[in-house]
Amino acid sequence: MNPVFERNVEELLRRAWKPVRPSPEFEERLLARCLGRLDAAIDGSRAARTVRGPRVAVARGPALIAASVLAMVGAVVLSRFVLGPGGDEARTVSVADLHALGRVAWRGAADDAWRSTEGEPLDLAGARLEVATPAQTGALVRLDPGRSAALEPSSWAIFGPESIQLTCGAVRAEVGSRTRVATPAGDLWVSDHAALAILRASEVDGDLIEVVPTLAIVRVDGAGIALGSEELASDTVHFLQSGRILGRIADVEEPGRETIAVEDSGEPSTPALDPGIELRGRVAFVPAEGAVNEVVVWVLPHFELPKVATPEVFVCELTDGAFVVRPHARGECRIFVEAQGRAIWESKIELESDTATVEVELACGGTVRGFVVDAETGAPLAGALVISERDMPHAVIDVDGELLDEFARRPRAVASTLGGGAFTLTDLSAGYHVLRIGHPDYAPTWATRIEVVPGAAVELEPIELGHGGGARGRVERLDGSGWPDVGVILSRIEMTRESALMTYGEALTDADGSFAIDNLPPGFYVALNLGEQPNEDPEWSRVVQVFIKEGETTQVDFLAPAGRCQVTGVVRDAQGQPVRDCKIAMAPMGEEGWQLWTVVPSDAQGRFEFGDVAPGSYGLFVNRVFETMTFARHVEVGETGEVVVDLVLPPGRVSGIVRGRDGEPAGATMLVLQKLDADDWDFCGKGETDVRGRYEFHGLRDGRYRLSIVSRHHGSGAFNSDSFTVGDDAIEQDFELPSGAPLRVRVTDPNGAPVLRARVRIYDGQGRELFYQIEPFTDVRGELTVVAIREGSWRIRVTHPERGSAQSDVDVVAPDENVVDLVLR
Amino acid sequence: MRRVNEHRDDLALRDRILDGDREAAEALFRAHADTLFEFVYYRVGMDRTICEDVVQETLLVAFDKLGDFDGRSSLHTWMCGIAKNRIRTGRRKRQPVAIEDLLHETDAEIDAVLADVEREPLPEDVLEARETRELVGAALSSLPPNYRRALADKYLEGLSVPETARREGVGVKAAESTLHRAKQAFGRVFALLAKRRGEAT
Repeated sequence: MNPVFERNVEELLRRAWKPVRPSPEFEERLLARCLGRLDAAIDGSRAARTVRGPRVAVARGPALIAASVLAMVGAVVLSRFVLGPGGDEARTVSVADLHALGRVAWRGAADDAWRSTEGEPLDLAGARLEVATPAQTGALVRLDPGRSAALEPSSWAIFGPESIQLTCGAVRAEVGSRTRVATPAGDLWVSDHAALAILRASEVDGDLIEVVPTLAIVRVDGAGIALGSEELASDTVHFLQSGRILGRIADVEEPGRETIAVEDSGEPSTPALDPGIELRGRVAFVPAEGAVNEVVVWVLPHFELPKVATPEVFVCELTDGAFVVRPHARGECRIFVEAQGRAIWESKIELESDTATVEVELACGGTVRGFVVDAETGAPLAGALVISERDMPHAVIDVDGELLDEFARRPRAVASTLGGGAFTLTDLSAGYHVLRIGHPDYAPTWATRIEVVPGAAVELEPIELGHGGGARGRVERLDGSGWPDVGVILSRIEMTRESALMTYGEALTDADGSFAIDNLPPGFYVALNLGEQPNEDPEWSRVVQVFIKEGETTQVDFLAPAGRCQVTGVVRDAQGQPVRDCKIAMAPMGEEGWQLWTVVPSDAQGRFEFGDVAPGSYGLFVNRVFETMTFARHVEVGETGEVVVDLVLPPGRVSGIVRGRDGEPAGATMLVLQKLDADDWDFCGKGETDVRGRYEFHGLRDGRYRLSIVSRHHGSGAFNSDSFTVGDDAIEQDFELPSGAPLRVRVTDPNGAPVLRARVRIYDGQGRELFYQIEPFTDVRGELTVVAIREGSWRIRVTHPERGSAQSDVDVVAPDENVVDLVLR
Repeated sequence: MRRVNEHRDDLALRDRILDGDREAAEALFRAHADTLFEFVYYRVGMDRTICEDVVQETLLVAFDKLGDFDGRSSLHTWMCGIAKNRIRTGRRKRQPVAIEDLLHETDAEIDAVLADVEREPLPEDVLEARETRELVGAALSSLPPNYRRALADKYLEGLSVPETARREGVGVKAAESTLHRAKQAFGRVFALLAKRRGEAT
């Protein structure tokens, strides 16, 4: 404000402010009425009240749903819950009883001895209960009927009639205080009852609990333990190992350094916790010049679907060129090691025994610079997040990028743009990178095939962000009423496999059961609501596949059955035996092919059921093998009633190995199966190779088939296989990927304006259409890119319902991008 | 909706009330009744009778539906939302109007002066005018409760910044910062309302 304005404001507030207040009589009358109304409401609902606390719909914890949908369509649906520390009274619950499944330790008061229980119910008499899980039990604790919390090893839970808190070791503020902590990075306010600790993700069965951000930056002096902002993660893990609360933060009046005395009672205040596996790493800096003494180690377990892991992160000082960390992860893991001035190092490791060793080589990296701008205005965008997916020690990210806020530490593969929209990613590993660029107010986009060379810098063209599309909808209960506070997730299906990070959007339904999710990048999504898909057991009932279009809002509803048709049946193999635990997908046949998949599992007797099916023509597909589905049959659905469809899977089978040009197995290669029907080749299945390059298609009828094979291997190209015959036996068809290059198709009108949603069909030299993408349409820039297509001759044909068609021939030559321009009227 | 909500104090109060804590219920009433009254007052043409009706309906609905409050907004915002619905329902019988137009008929000269608040010092007679008082009240009723509290502490109760800090349970610097932002926010809203009213007359 200028001085005149400022003075005017002062004068207005001093002299012209005459508050308007209700009369005292009105206030007292109204207060009495409000209290009377409250008494009546309480009396009417005193039994088993469920309070809706603040919710986090999704994410923030490692759980995942809809494995088989992912298997069928190559996507990952992420659903995560975290049971927060409560901060202050995250929610109020009535703890009716505690039923521990698995071995847990518990005590009623802080100075009680720990007791152990395994399986038997406990009646709570006291006002307070602490629960801990020693060793590897991962107990499930039921809080009261219908809700439960899973405690991971080394987590704590403190229950009471007033609050639920989860803390995981470390420093905890005194209950009742509002604490301000002075930190090297600035002041950090912690609200009442906050626990300053890193949370372990926990799963809640059918309920949603608030997550409280828990990062604390505290310097604990006097005990030789420092938790700087860069060190918190490792010291938190250390606390988890020791299982002791190391200090308390008292109320602070003024900012400044706070000295906290570490309490050492001598006795562990928790039962012994899982110490983790001792992982040793010997680190070599190549070149040695510029070596540093500190590294950051990320350990990311590999979980089979439906779970997705979150990484453990450790900050370590090297001792004689080595580090020791104690992750709790088990099994196959990825390890990432970062050091200042060096590219991230990554490797896979099996963590099974008590110890493990890795040899780490930290080399120099390269730099990528660029700008992020608004696609419409060209204005630079500050606050955009640019992520190198290759160097990112995680597997998923939400569209807003808020997931990064939960990490104990921001990975170095992430950069933010400043006011001018500029970003710099340094020390990236050598090789080809995919950048994911996102912003809270825009849909993310990707920049692919960026080659990073050590010691060199790559300058990118400006990256444009648009708003993508959106999804709106409603979730209903069985009785048709809106279902509030239910999480809805839309998980993007990455068909081309260029993007390694899985992207999802999330929302909570409002009081009416409605939700909205914006800024979704266009493409195929799997949508599910967590009201119907409990976290623990993916026996979900309804998963929907939707296509989000640029600039449009798509309706995605989970409505109560409207008394429409049911489609039920039994799936059997060729010998007549019921096939259990396979996934049946049903999709209506639309003008543009199969759309809006719904997926259900078969039970132990091979039975499956689709409820609430609208009239129409549908296809049924069966998934028996991970990441593969095959067409079973058509089904016609009428207005009401039940359609019984028994599926008998034919014995025909084709399998094989896909290899790259170097002879190595080509994992994550997409295969689209087509069957010759009269003179037409019809889509009849889709699959993907596993890490050994192997694929399998089951349940095939006699006939001639062919495959479109789309690889993500650099230098390889998509192509059509020759046709082959399938009979009653299994046949083997191996393939070697040919060399290839990117192909970009640009479609404009006669004035040069881009044409959106032009369908692009690609035919090889023998006139066979290549199935390279389920939704082969041009984007808002009028472009479609095939990441890699076989060298050689292709015909490109584009069509648009209002603009006619055009075609052009192209000879694709590796390794550079090939561009084809087409003009529609 | 995706972020962790930040209104834990409101949620804690809600929970206590729903547990039958009458003191908590009274605390909620005392904390919000006056600001709600002011909020409604300037949006119903400064008609006290209508204002009392709307405030009464709003608070009764709020107590009835307290279990639905989920902390995604503050309690104040939530109740203002209820109040706005009530006002809209009432207005269907009248034409909906902007807040600045609900203020009483004003002197065009005073309006012109107030519309220039950012550039010219306000004369004494304008500062004392009813029109100015109404505009100040309308602007303040549009501010978040913490800003209004900060301004009230200083300008109505004459508290120093350290005294305000102690009352609010914050540090002095935080209290200073809040007061500064509150004044800026008030200035912006006041100038906007004054300009719009000046354009309308």
